[in-house]
Amino acid sequence: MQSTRIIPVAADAILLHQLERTTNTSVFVSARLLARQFTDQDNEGLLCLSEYANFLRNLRLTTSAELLADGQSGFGNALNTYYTACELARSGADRLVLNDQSFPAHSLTPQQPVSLLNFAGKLKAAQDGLKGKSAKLVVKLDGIQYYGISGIKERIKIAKKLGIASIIIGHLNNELFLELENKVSLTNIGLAQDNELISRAELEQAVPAFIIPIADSIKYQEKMTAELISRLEEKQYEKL
Amino acid sequence: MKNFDHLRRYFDKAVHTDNHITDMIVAPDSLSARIAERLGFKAIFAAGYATSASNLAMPDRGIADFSIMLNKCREIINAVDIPVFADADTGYGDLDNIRRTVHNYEAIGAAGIFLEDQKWPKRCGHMSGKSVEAPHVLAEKIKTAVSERKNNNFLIMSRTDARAVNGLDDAIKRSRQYLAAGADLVFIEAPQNIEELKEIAAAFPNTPLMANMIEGGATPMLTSKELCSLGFSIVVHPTALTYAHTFATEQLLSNLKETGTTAGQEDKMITFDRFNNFIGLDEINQREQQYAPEEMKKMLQDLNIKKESC
Repeated sequence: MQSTRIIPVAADAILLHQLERTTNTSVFVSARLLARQFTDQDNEGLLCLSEYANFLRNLRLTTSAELLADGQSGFGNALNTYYTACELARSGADRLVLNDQSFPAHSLTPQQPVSLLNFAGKLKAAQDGLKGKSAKLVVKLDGIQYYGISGIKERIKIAKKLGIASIIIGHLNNELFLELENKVSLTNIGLAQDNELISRAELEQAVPAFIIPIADSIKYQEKMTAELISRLEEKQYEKL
Repeated sequence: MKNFDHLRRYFDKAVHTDNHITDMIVAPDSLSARIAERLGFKAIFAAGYATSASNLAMPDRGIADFSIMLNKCREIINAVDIPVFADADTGYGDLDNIRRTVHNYEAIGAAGIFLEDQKWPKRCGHMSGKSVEAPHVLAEKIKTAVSERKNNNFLIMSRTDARAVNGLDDAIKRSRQYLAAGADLVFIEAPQNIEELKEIAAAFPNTPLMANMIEGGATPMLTSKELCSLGFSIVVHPTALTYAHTFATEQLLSNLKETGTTAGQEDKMITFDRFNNFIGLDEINQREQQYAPEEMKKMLQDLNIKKESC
């Protein structure tokens, strides 16, 4: 059986360093994970570009792994997207992941997607921002629940027209995923596991180009925290 | 993307050119750096006195930390297309900190850094009450910095503050040690007269030397040309813009406080149009226009996108 490439998620230099020792050489530096660390809230839209870029620059110096930077929705309009691309490229991104949510992007329920023309404008702006740099653009389509499969197809068409081959589809649920699997070839498309409505194993069955297991990473963090708390509570009990 | 190697090579060549002096203005912010660039300055210095003042409204007394200094330098680098040299103070700790300092300054595209032998928290080189580490401390830091840099043209300058503490002989002796440890450039802070400047130049005939021209400081104010003829390759003006900004701000605000209006003070300001033109408003507006829906519609017309989904 064919296996799907997993692109791990990190917002932690130690974890990144450990991942580098495995066969994985690409890591998605999730703004959602970073926002959770910084703000105690599951909302990437609370992070601003400079906060994220500053973190990315620090991370860049610790690793030679390929870093997929989370450009969210470009932190504003197309002009902001241009400067987002410039800033994240010079901060060490190898790839810039840009989603199609309206600004500010949200982690749990995605914001309404931007219109097709604004989407095209942002992609063009990001490409211009990356001109002459080695970083490449990756488009993340987060609005399947709003625009359905036909919208996915339209947006892929626009991305291709602009010469962008790397696509991720996120914020899926079981129903949408089944429809997507039946109607769109996922051989060259990556899937993001943004929520727990669908498991990584289910996404793997479609054998997409790659999977970014964001929800699993959060779940793992939460599990570790729960274990730690339970141990601390046991110790307190022993003392008593 | 800016070609940092090109800028580093340019700076390296400039400071190693005989009978030539590189005039560096310390920019308290990106805007000042951009003005200096437009006026023809060939290099900028990002330094502690100005950064402490502009970021913290505080004196240069070792309160501005690594992150503040690095970020200021990065902002300036991003705003101009000329080399930016950085004041990295003492390197902000021990040899582990030196490594981090070098990696970061090199990564943001600085042309080089200087490292000094003051005890932390340091203070401006022309302030009283300085103290210096034993010379081996900075020698080790320089050695580490040199071995950690990725590009040989990321220049490391040694700075000693020993002149004010132990006298010029010790400052020269220390600088020789720092040079032996691998420093590319030498800076002896706060010589007190022209004779001392000459003595420094005579002690390091083959090494690019920096002089620091601080208004009201310990060193006599000489022109760039005069310093060049003495044998200096770099001159830095660390306080001029900070003092000019403070003076202008104070003048304008005291008048505003008194009169309740800035009318009548326009002759002390740049105009709205000239400033917007200088700061590149037209370019930004044009860029935004390139991505406007009308432009995208033209670009996508052959894709037959449904009208309602636009």
